[in-house]
Amino acid sequence: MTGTTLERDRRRVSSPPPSVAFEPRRRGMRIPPPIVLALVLVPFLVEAVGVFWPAFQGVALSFLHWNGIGPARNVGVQNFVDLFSDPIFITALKNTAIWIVLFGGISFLAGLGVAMLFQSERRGVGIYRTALFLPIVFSLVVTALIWGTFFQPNGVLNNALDAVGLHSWTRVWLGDSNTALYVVIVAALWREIGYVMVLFIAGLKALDPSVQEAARVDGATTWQRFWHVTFPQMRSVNLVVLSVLIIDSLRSFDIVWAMTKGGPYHSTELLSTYMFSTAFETHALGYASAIAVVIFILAIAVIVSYLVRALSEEKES
Amino acid sequence: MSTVLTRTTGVNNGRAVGNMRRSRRSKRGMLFGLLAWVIGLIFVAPVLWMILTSFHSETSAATNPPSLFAPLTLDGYANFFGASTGASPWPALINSAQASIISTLLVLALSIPAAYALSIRPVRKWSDVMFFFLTTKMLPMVAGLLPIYLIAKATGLLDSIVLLVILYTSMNLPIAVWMMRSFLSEIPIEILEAASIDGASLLTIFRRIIIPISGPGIAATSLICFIFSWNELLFASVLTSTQAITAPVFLTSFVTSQGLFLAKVCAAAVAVSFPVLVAGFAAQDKLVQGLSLGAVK
Repeated sequence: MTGTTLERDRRRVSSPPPSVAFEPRRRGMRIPPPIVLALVLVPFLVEAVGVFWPAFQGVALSFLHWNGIGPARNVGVQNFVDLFSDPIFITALKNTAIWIVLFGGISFLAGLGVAMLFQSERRGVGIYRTALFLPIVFSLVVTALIWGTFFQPNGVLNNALDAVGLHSWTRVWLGDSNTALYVVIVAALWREIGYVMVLFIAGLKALDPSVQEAARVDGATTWQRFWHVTFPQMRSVNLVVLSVLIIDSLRSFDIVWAMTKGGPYHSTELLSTYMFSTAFETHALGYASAIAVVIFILAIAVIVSYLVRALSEEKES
Repeated sequence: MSTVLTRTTGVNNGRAVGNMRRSRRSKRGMLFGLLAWVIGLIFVAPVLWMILTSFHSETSAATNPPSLFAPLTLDGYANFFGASTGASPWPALINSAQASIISTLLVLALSIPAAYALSIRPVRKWSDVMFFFLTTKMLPMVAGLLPIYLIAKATGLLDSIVLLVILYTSMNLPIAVWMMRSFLSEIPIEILEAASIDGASLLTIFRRIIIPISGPGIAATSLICFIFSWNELLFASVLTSTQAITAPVFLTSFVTSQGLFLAKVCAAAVAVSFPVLVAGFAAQDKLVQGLSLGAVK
């Protein structure tokens, strides 16, 4: 996809001589600039008010000690200090890291794998792509329901294990703090891999096929072609997918909340679920906001590093 | 690989190589077929299981291993919609439909003009604007949840569809602007120029040129926005309770209270997923394009 919209932009911006680069290219159109500006400004404002403003409100809240009903008390950075001596927060931080590594890593590898498998336009490949894509339209509540049933004590998995004589392996998957997190990750993966595949297929399509052909003519094996030709070419797609996956990991909430609510014993607690239960069950609003700020900062760090890259790439061309 | 083989071994034993090539290719094809089939099944089977179970009676749904050929019945659906177990799902479904459809219309009303401006007049700063929209799409919604809740409580907007409409609009606007801009960029400039030279107003250009040409793209964008709004859980579960409860929130509580009745719960899940499943199939190709576009610039 590295080629559709911005490629156009680049061409537009760079093709005319520098002196007219800022001139609107379609001079035939007689739209007064104020209207054009307004057309863009309105959605801009909607986003600023609907998304950015609440996030910054959250920063202000994070310096308070407040239960939402009584008077709020300013406690400075105490909430943040408390966070790092809070064992549940540390667990949530650790689980979020595990989530990023496992959910992100497996999505990346599996998504790349199926993209390589299903990228070529052979007969019937569309059906498989649709199959992998199917889970995306389902809400995470439904995903949680399906996989929760699968991993139930008397569910399909335990029965299958019993049937092949591995009774000792059976367990209460979602009730066991050693396994619950991984079960939730499996469910989340089921819904993410198809999406990652779509991103990779789009990226693969944008590659120059003549390089592939040259490698083929030179006698490179399939693996060599992938590892030495395709993969290095995909650097920018890889980085985009990784950014998306980390962001998605930080945003993960629904699936965990629907399956375990962060339990048992906080073993599936993520930063997002801990923030949620602190805000709406414990009613420690300032403290919850401090957690939200941590999530926000982590996400901003990823977004900014992604944007810096994307924008510098644009300048280069 | 196979082309390389034929190229290196001369013409003399071309026939033998041809056979070898064919068998190699068919072996490969079979391997591909098998692998593809297994992977496809992993992704589809859970959905099929859910749909099948929703048509089973509670007793056959509870058997282990799941019975494939149990008699089919509509009891699960009757129980779910008949509200034999408490609240009727209809208000939740209607709320979800209202919130999703109205917010989608708002998103279109805001994003099409913006995308038009962004694709017609490429000023250098525009790409910064596009990245701003991308950033808001990537921000974790959970970070703004508590402030939004407090604002809603202060303004009396808690448990109202109006609030959900506003939130879903700002949630979907970025991806809609990105998608719409890519679809509008496909319109040949000459047509637009010709129209404006002939004195067509902005509105006429919209009605006569943009809507007909970008119709499929507009449809796909609206279906994506619809799917995202319909499935949204985080905000809906905090900001609604009884009046404005949405389908996913209703489903969550239904699963909690009726979790033991598998057929009924599966029927509920299928019923709640039905609109997005239809929307997803309708938009399939463009959906893929749109989703990959929002993320991979």
